Amino acid sequence: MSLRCLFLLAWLFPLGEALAQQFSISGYVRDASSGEAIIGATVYVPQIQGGAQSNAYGFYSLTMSKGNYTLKFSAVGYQSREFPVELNKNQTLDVELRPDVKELREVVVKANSAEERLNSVEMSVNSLEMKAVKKIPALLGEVDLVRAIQLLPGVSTVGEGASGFNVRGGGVDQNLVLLDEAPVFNSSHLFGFFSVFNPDAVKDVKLFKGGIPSEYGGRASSILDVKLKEGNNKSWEANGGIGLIFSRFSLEGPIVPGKASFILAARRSYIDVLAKPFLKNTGSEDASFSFYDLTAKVNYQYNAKNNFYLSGYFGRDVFGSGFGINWGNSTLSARWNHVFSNRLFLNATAFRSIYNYNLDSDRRNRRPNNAFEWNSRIQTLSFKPDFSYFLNPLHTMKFGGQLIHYDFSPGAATATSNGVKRSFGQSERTGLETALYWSHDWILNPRFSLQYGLRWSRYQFSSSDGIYYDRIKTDISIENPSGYYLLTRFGKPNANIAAYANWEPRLGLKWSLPQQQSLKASYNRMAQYLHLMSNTAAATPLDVWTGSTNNIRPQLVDQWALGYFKNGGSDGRSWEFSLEAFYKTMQNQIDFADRSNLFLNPAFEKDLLFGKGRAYGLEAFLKGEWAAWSGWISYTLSRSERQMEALNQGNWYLSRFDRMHNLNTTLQYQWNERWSLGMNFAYITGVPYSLPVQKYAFDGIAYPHILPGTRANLRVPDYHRLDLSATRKNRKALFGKGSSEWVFSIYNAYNRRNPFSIYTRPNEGNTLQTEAVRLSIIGSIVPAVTYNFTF
Amino acid sequence: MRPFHYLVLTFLSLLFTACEDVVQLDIPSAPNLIVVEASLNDQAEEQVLYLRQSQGYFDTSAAPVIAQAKVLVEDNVGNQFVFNEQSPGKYVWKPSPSLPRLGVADRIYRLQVQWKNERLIAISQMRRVPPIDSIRYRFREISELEAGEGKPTTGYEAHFYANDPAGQGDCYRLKFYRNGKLYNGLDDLTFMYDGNFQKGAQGDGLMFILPIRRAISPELYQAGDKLKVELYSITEDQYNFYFQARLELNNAGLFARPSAHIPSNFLNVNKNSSWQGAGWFSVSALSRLETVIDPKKAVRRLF
Repeated sequence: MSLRCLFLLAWLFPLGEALAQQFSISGYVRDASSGEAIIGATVYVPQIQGGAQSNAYGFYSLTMSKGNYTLKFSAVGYQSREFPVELNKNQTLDVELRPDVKELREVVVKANSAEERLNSVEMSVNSLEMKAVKKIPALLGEVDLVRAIQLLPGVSTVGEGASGFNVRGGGVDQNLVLLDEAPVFNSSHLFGFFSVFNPDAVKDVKLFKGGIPSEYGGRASSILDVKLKEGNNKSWEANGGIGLIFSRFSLEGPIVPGKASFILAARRSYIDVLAKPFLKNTGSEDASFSFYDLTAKVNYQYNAKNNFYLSGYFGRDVFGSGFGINWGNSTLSARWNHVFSNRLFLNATAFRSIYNYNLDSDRRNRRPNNAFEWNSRIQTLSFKPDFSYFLNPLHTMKFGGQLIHYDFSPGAATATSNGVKRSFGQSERTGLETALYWSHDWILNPRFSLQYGLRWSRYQFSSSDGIYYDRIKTDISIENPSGYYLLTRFGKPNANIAAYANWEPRLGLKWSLPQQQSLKASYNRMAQYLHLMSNTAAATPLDVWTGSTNNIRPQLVDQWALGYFKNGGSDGRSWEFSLEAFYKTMQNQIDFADRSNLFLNPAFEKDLLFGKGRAYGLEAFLKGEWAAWSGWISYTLSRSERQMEALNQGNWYLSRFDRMHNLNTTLQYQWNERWSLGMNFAYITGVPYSLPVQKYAFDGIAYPHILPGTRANLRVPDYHRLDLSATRKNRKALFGKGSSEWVFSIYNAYNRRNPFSIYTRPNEGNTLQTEAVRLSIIGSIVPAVTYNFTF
Repeated sequence: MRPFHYLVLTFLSLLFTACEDVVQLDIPSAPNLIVVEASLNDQAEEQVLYLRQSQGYFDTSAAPVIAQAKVLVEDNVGNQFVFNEQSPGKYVWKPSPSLPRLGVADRIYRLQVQWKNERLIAISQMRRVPPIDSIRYRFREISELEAGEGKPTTGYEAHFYANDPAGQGDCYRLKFYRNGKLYNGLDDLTFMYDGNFQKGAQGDGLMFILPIRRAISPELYQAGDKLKVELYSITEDQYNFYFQARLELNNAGLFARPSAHIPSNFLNVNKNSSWQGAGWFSVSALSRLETVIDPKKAVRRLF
């Protein structure tokens, strides 16, 4: 059957409904103690041997023929509940589930979620619960989402301290990181050591690496969907922690009990305070380096049909003394959930997201006549309606669209010398991205189901002063290392300069096999109109996002994936296993010519190189629990390569985040009611690099000479590391109320100097002699203690 | 960008135990290059250039020289400057009453080297250079910019003052000496595009911006120190040569770039020969200014 027929068929279904006298039952599933919506709760109806799942906002809907049914609600970490229902009219049933306090005995419920993983069409997806993330031993005891994600199959990074993450051989800019639907452009604090997500405010995390449904788009490799807590609407709750890096505090509670609530969470680092004594006589006594963030959300359940949410994030990193730099994101998203009928659900989001940074040579304004200031900013405004239509338990349709307006102020600087002020940089540009999508989840029979959809996206580029550039091919020379030069064109201000449109088909298939096995396959095409100009090993906070232009074509990624899933075990000893293979091709990838100058350079497009990429690999994932033990092992065997016109003599080369073997294990052991233990172990192939082969003296310094065509031909030694943690729960917290815990952790327990990179340099004492240097970012054991409380 | 890197490093080493170890590596052998180091200028003095071979990257022996080569520099008005080998690999041109200097502004120069069966050619142009107006200094305590082990904690921060002439595309190399010794650390490699650090930074016609003026003070000077500042005109291509060299020489850490080839204007006419050229041939206009640090002449404000 052609796609077109399926499309038509899907829309014909509503006609059939009148004949069979069907009714719908819908509602929200929420946590009984806090009123939080529960994502992914299962509603099982034994009479039809099927059911539904609550969506990302806790909403479910079931449409069945008139009759008597039992609805069984269950979710990980909650006690199940059953409701008998006489379905003779459309009705609403909001359900609250009680958290299962005896966490050791969640087995039955957990099996449910494992089953979901087995039987849904979804593949290449990992969900993380904050509860589980908090148990993973963390660097300096700071629970970190992005670091937890790096333990999953298919996820890698260029090394410790690098910002962001790489999914299935894609660049860090190919991940759409969403915080309550608003994109976060830089997910790191302190260059990359910590992520911007406050663990106390996060409810649920989902990473899509493949088979990405059509409701998501805009980035080529993955979607990291982070949902914030709504805030307890029944009682007041405070959480906090005192660690070596951050202090955290969050407060949540009802505004109108049962109807409206809020959460406010804040973190601040205090290394600057701790470091003060060490900075004496270094000339940096008044240096500031700190980072902080605020996360807040309010929600209002206006009535059974309308819920409103407002969430925001504001974070900043501040470094410097006389010379200073600061950067950060801010996001604000407003959402409206509306239930049109028991079957049609709308989530409408409007958001604004900004990332900006500022460098100032004269923070204290002592010498305004000789100063330098540099500002960069990207802002997006977006409106995004998402509809879900729950036709019946076998058919769910999603459709909607998105409009995103981008405002790029990539770099504006002023340099003042001896009172003469000059402004320079890159001109402001705007982009408009539009998308429409539709998808259909279809359970054909208990064995076979599919999800297919289509997304159409379009991007339009304009420059606010009308200036743009044409890239003209020329000979490669010292002046034009990319083999191109630019011709300046003067158009009308804000006129459309280039536009691109793409169809993005998505498909997922699932066959259930006997004995708790299933096979899945997926295909997706993703188009990306936003590109991060980064030519360094780890992305820096100064890297600039640019939209597609008449020269920079949208990145297009096609990915095929195949997966085998199997669950096993019994109560208390269950496991789930998956094996996935993927192949990805990438068009219009970007790399950079020698000496590329990406900052404040209006002609930066001259230094870009375009080409293609490919990535492929095999991912194995085993997750399980065995009495008091739980954890997972993930192993990825993969390759990620690029080929550019004027780089490496036109030959394929390894991307800098290519890591052939990537093994990650995390284990937790619940010793007794008070003590639990955790462990991580990682073994990862070193990153590729290249080395000069010859040296020659110039100006009394040994200059390196690298052979053409040897890019990324060597590898840094393998990386391996063990982390340990022990958590002791106290019955009481600070003021004799609530509860608290001590977390003792050891990062890099066997004190290995894991190399981040190897580079060469002239010897400092004798610059005609040379040496190779191995750099370890974290070169020793890092012990830490954290105190967490809740009351 | 250097202050930024400095902050990053300080911060990381405070926080963690970032550490560097010197390691031994094997590298494959590769054909040697013929390297020219020819930084000629417009002064009425002897001009010297060196021809050597490149060597294995970790080779600790002295670089083998290119001896008995025929070296000739010509300009575009018909002058010929024959460089004679004074010692192995060192070639010298001596001024004469009829030809007192080699470099003249705006002239184009061609270097030809004939060695064994190889013929290599480099072309360069002499650009203009502004005079250095003055050097001023003030007494102060150390700041993070002069910090370092064994460096003086009090002394004189010196700045030099010069104006980039109007007209875009002037490039310079800055050299500075303390008591006759060139500051030649990897951080001291300073070169400019107009009055600023880079192309497109609208530095044309400006007094060299503050970080350039103060670049001559990598550490604080002491009373009686002799300070010499030299400003060399270079071509934009040579600016790019230095730019790439500095990237390769300081390419470490979280934000390192992929290693790349340092360009050269010294090319073998036979592209297929195993002996290819490296290094740079330039003819620069040169401005010099020297001063002796005298506490009585110190100023209270530098800007």
